[in-house]
Amino acid sequence: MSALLAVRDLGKRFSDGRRALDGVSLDVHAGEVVALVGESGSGKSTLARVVCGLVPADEGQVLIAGQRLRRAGTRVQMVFQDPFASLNPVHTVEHHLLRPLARRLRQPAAALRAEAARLLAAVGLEASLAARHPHALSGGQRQRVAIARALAAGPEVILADEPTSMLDVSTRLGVLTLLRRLADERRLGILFITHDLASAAAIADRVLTMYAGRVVESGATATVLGAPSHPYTRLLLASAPRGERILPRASSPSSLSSPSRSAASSRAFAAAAAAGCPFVARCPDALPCCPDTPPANRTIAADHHVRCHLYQEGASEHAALS
Amino acid sequence: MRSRFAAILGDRRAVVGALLLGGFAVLALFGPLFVGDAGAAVDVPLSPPSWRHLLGTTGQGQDVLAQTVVGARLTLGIGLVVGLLVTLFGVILGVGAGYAGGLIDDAASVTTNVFLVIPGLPLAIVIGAYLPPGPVRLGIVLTLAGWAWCARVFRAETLSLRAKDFVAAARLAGEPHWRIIAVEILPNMASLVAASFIGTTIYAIGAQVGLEFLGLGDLGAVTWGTNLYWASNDSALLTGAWWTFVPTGLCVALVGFALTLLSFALDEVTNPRLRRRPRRGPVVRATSRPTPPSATEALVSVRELTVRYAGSELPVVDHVSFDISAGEIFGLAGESGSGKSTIGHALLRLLPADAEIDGELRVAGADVTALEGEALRRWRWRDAAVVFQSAMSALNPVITVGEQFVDTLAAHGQGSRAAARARAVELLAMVGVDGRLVDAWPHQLSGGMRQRVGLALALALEPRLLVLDEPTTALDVVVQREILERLVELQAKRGFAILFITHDLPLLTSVATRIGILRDGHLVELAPTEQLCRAPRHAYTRLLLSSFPRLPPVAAKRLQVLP
Repeated sequence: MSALLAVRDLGKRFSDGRRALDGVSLDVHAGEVVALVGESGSGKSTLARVVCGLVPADEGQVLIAGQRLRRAGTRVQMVFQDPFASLNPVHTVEHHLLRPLARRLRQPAAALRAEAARLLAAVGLEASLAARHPHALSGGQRQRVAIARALAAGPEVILADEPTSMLDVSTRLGVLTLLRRLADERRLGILFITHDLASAAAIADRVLTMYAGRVVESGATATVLGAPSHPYTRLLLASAPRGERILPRASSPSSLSSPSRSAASSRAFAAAAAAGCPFVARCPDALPCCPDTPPANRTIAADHHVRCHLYQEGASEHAALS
Repeated sequence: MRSRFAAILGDRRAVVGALLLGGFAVLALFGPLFVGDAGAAVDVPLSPPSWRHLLGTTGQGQDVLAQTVVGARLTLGIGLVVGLLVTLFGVILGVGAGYAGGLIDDAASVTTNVFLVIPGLPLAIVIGAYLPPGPVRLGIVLTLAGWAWCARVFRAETLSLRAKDFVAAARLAGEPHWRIIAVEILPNMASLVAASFIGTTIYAIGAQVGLEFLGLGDLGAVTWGTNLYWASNDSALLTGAWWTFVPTGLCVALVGFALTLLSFALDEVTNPRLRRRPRRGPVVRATSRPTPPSATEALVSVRELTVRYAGSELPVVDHVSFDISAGEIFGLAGESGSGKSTIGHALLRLLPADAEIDGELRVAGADVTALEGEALRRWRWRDAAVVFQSAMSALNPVITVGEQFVDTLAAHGQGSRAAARARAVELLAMVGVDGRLVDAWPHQLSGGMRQRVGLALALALEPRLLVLDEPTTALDVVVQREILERLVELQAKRGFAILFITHDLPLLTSVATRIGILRDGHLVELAPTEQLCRAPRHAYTRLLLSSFPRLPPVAAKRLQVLP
């Protein structure tokens, strides 16, 4: 079955020439939630804006059900990170839904209002909220309105860019569950962008790890999070808080004064290590070939792909040498 | 929108301003019908006020009352029209350029800036020389001299609105550009447009009267400006004929006053900082009140702390008590609006002036609520320091990292410049920042680096209490982890106490020894971390603990090398 959303070799440069996206390819099938994880500056949000057509791509293409997407349109809708900036403060909740509905359905006002009420119910909001302005809603309610607005346009794909990172914790899980349900019930393809691995684990079918504008690991959620293979995915997983205590290391004074691993930000290295793997400076397992040769994407198991020299042909000999 | 309108109407200044303006409008529209011919000489020149001529006569023997009333029509009319035109051009050019961006924006900006640097009065005089006299000339001259400022303000506002996500959402919904401007952007600028209109109307009336007074208007017309011109021309000041200029001058001043009142009222209603805080939802009381902490030798002792803001009945923090012992990491968790940051701010006496604090706050034996002025300034940072979520706003953007340390140390009378710099390098190394970055500017650092610098600055005077308010919330997990590890290490080594405030309970359980759960200003649960995780007593704590998605355990296999 061909993918609903197919991104092929997408490339985008910042105005200063640095690569924000470097040959990104990914598939999202109907009814599937794909999580894209990575740190800020890794290109996640740029990818979202290019995929939905808000920002033109420099290279590559975006296909929706096999058709090339050339500019922003209703087939791909976005749910933004900041629920306080994504709704217009001067308009009511209903107004936000009626416009896209009117453009899509071309029905009399009463029918549109009924449809808006159905949408509100579908995202778990009371119909009485329709007349309210965004400032009278909580963060979680606003994000649900934003999801309803995306649905109103009748999309096939929804890009959710960090939809829960600015929400209070007690409302987060509800919004995540809603996204999962929309994928299941409406057969939407959802690309869920997050830096929170636990959120990804909660709802995603597949997980992609992104670093310095490239997808470095991809596979089924259980595979990527259960048996992380790229050193960066492993670093992300090891850093996520799991409730275990962080204890002071039995440290020598020298460790206290040593610069940190992340001291060199990923951005600085994206430029410096353009020749080889961009992760090389932070990589605990770097091989002699890493600074000079870019790693290719390799399939290491069924639906598990890694872009790392550790998994290339002959990597074991390199590992043995180093 | 409607509530703002009601708020404007409820403002006394707005009512006075509107009534005054309404009075002048009636005067300008209907007054001339009752006062007769203003231009005709009706009596002896310069006769003082009398029953025949209530405001006396001018140097040409015209009735001053008639001249003032008739003059209102043209003066206010031109003022209003110019105010509208300037605002309209400003909106079209500013919003158009800001929204279109690219070359259009560049061209419009250059034009605007050229008009802005040319002084208005000479420009008006030069343009005026090429046009036939009359009210139209004045209108054109004033509009040309005034539109640039408006356009610039509207362009800046459009640029910030265009970047908002709701505009992106409208584009994704397939809305045409004109509709995005009309429906999404302009309504958000309504108060700015209204304020600009009032401002430019004041400008138009002032500049018009000024030009005419200088004799640059149409001297045949009866306006407030020409009234003043003729009064001056007829040596009214020298002869003491005050009645020829005081009425007109008073009218100009009153109109300006009325418009300014309206502008103030509008500003107050639309400026978020001057608006009242929204009411908070219903309060849920603790089912079991936390037992009051024992009054042993605690470093920090908070007793029955209650904070409320002026104008709100509900306290933001309601009778909260807890202790922090020396060298302890104490966590406060809660969602937005729970009052957790207010407690942190109260401990350092950083609350805004309209906050009322009740209860007892003691840090290292000092009564924090009693500290004032110089004593407070010296105590803060020396005994208790703070790191906020956004270090960028905590660091001064116009001085280097090293200078921030020099300033901080100098403010507490510690050492020379050179010594402070050396100490800065030492402190930076302590938090894992390369000492060479001592000469870097804050904007050159990544978010994690800035947060480390903030931490080093907070530790510069070796405080006994460190308040951390969401110190790693804006950071990535990897950076967050590194900073937390460093923090725990430093804390174990130096023995300062930490009040760690965050909404992230799993994060808190990994660093804090005891945790307090806040909800709507109440401390609903306070327990050692293990106990809180194992057997939370309050339903809200259980809700918070269950709200976080959990990661599955990682497989033990560390590296998978192809055969």
